[in-house]
Amino acid sequence: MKVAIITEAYNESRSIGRLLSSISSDFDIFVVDDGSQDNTSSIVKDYNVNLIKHNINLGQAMGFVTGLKCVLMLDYDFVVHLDSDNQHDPKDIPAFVDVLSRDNDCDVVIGSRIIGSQEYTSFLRRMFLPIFNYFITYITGYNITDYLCGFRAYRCSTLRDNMDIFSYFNKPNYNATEMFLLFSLRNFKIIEIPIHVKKRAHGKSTKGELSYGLHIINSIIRYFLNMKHLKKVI
Amino acid sequence: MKVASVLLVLAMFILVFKMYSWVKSGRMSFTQSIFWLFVWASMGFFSIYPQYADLIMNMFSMKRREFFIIFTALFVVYFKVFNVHGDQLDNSRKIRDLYQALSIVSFQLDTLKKENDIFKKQNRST
Repeated sequence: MKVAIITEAYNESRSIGRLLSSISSDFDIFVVDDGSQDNTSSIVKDYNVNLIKHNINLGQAMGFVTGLKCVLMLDYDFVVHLDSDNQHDPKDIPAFVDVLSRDNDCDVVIGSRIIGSQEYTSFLRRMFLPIFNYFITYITGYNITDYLCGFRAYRCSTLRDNMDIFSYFNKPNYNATEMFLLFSLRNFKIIEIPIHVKKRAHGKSTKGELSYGLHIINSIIRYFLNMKHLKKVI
Repeated sequence: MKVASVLLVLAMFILVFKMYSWVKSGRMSFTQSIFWLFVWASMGFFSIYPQYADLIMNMFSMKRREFFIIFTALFVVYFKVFNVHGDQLDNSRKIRDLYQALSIVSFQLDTLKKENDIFKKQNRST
């Protein structure tokens, strides 16, 4: 089984090295440097990984799609995505791969901080995420506890057949909700596994709490507006 | 005809000729010029025949001509700003797509270079 790991990095020079050294050499790593102004790229070059560079900052979602397009051109079976801020533990990767290799019908594996554990979450997220989670569960029919989690694994063959959905990403910085809603339209089989999410060691997230919430509402509205069209494409 | 009306008609002619040269040089498309042609033509027409402006003003129950002019001008400006904003969003998306394509192509080139180097090394050793 060939497994690729995608991670996007924007000004993550203080944490990217630690992440890359903790990922097993059994996996091929693809780092998308999303227009960093610090020395993220030069640090990444010290490791035996594939570096894809955006000349300007395009946002996390665009970084993920860039990485995905590169991976899908190559001969990989599964692709795992994790954040470069060291919040996701690379030790959990084999668990994701294991689910995909055991269950041939499974298309996506999502990590869950809710059924797993989490060192820190902001007050606003703690307040509003269960509400959004309940609403998304209601409209998609999936019983997922943490659809916003970025630690995910995908079956490459499924993604190759459904690459068109990635052109529907609206905001280049937020994609978790939109991606999940699009997957539900294509009836992907999604399995959730527990993960441990650590506290961010360095820097601050570029995603604002308010804009995050507004984007979730925007994604839900777009889901209803594009639902018929996206279903027709199948 | 008042001096202001003459000046407005003159300004209209200058703008129409400017637009003509832009269409000729390809700076503006013919379809884009229709909107502005309509704006400048209306401006010239109402300068010469203000009674027609009063007629439309009465249709919208506006008491003063100044309000009508300001309202119409604001409508045109908002319409144009809305269109420009839409174009700007579209262009920024296109720019993002181009940058993404560029990154993928340079990654492919790097991969090819690496493969080529490995191939050369293997050839040398054999």
